[in-house]
Amino acid sequence: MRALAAAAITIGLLGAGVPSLAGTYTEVSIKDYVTPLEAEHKTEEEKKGLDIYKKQYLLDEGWKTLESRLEMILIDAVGRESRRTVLKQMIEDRDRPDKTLGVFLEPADVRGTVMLTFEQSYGSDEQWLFLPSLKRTKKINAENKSGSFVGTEFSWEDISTTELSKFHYRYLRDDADHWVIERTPVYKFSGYVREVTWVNKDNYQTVKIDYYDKKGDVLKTQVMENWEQYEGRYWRPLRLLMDNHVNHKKTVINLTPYRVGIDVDPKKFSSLGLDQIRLSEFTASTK
Amino acid sequence: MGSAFAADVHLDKVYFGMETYYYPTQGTPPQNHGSAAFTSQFELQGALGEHWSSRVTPFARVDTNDSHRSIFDLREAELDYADGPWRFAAGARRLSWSVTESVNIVPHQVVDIVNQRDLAGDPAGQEKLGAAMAMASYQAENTLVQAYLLPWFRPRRFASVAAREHPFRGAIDLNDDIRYVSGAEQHRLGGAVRLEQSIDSANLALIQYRGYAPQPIVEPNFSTGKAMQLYYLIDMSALTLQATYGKWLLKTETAYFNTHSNPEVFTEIPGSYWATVSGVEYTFLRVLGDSDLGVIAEWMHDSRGDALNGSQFQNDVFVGLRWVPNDQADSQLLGGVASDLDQRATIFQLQYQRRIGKQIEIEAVGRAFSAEAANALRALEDDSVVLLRLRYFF
Repeated sequence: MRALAAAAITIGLLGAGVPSLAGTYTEVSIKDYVTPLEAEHKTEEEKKGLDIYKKQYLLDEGWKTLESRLEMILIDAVGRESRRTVLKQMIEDRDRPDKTLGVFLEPADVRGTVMLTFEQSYGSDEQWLFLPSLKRTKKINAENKSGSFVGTEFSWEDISTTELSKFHYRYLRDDADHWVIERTPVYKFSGYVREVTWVNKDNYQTVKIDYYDKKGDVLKTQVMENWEQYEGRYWRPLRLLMDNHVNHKKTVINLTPYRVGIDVDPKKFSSLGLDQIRLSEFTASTK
Repeated sequence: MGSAFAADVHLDKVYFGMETYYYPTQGTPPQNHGSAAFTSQFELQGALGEHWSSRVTPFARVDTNDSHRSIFDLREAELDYADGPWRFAAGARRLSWSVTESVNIVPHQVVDIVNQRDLAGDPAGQEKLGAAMAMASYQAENTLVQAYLLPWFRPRRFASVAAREHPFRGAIDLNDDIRYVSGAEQHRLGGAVRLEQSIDSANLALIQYRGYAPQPIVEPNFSTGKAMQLYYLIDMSALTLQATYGKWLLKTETAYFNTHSNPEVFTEIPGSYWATVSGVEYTFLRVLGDSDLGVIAEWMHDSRGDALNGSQFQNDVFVGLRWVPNDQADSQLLGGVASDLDQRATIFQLQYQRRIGKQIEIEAVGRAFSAEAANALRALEDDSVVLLRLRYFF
């Protein structure tokens, strides 16, 4: 058995650069990635915080490809609503940034607009926008992680995938069902000074986040609900609620159940071919 | 096999719209105060099995005041075949090679020359006519190679003599006497090759184009009120770059136009020339609450100078501010000034767009011109305009 496991790890390491193999993320295979992080977490509280998030990371990685449909309901301070709908495909590739392709379905005037994001753990993301009315692919400001995600109360950094190295961790306390852990963004252009997160003890998933601004006030609160598990491993919330305590606006994101391991050409996740993305390539409803 | 040949055709992005142009100042007779038009466009998208797809996008404008603005055009009518890294397309298509901001605001083209412009439809030159082409492309991981055959050139559509923002204040009819240096006229085969490289923080493209220049040489005859227009051949070698550097965006589109392939009998044709639009954009995030503020600064140069058959933007600076409040209506306010560095000649433009409810998009534009007597822009000084576009999407 040990020999088999070692072989699997070897394949995993050799596989770097080609689409990664689901389930190859183990304590051993992420050792090179985690060791520098561990060196920065010195106190008992920091070690415990990192340890819990490391377990979440191990459960969370290796999904290869995902597709979902996001319905975002924007609610302003006086309760008026508007809606955005986006089809999203994601691809995970070991030693490369996660790549996300989003196509707008609603509102009608922006239907067909494509967003492509290459997520970087430490530095700025790379982002492109394809505007179908102009047929133009536009590279956009890379340091906008703190900026609004398509007019919602979510910023780009709030909706991005979880990369362990994005934060410094510190365990704060326990309650009956959760560990309460503080995360400090490593990225210097983050919109937050720190985040207080509630991690479910049953499945290591983050179910609530308080975002703190420079003044030390809670700027926003996100709650994740309607959890579903995929392939006996990956947990995903199908409902995200973001409350902005400063401007009193809210955003609710409802997702359709994820399709994990979809058959998608990695070349599609390229700024060179955004004009070729067709809605018919998505399996989710394009209405 | 059955499903491989099943066609799935559906209607998408259907809109009906209205446009009104209002010029508060009196023009030169017979120029009128403005125009009002109805517009409509839809997309018919077909997925024809695994490799084939099609798209047909008819556009129509019916102007109640200036029939010359009325048009029916197939913006797109293309059949596509895609297989792995290869893609082939044929038919009428629209594409964009430009990367800078000012060419998408003021009437100027440097590298984005495949689709002819309809200046009657939009005096700001942003309306592109569909262009007939056959295209083959190969996409490797970070490289895209595209080859185009362009069998049918379309002449520029100019405003009628009754329309405002007319370069000769209605004194010269620009819709008559169109000539070509080639005996094959419109049907002289053109072509282009474009290579694009995607590096993490930059997209770089090289373009080689052979065919007609989209801007004709105009020779006005003021005694007859007519103008001869001559379309001549160019070999364009161009480079475009858009790169990010922190909160900065760096952009350039620069091209050299070789005019040597024209027959020598046409003495009006300019010698080889070059042109560029280059500049930066910087975004301030979350200023004044949730708003983002972008600042654009670009230099526009054309070595032909600003004579009649040169370019208005021979040595100009464009400065713009884009304010995006990130609200539910996706509001956006853009203010820009294109100013000549050699003479007093300035275009001011303010445009605001937002959505009303779920389905209506409105755009309001104000444009004004100021120029000294020696500059060609002087002809437009009385043509300050307020225009409103409204589109209802189904």
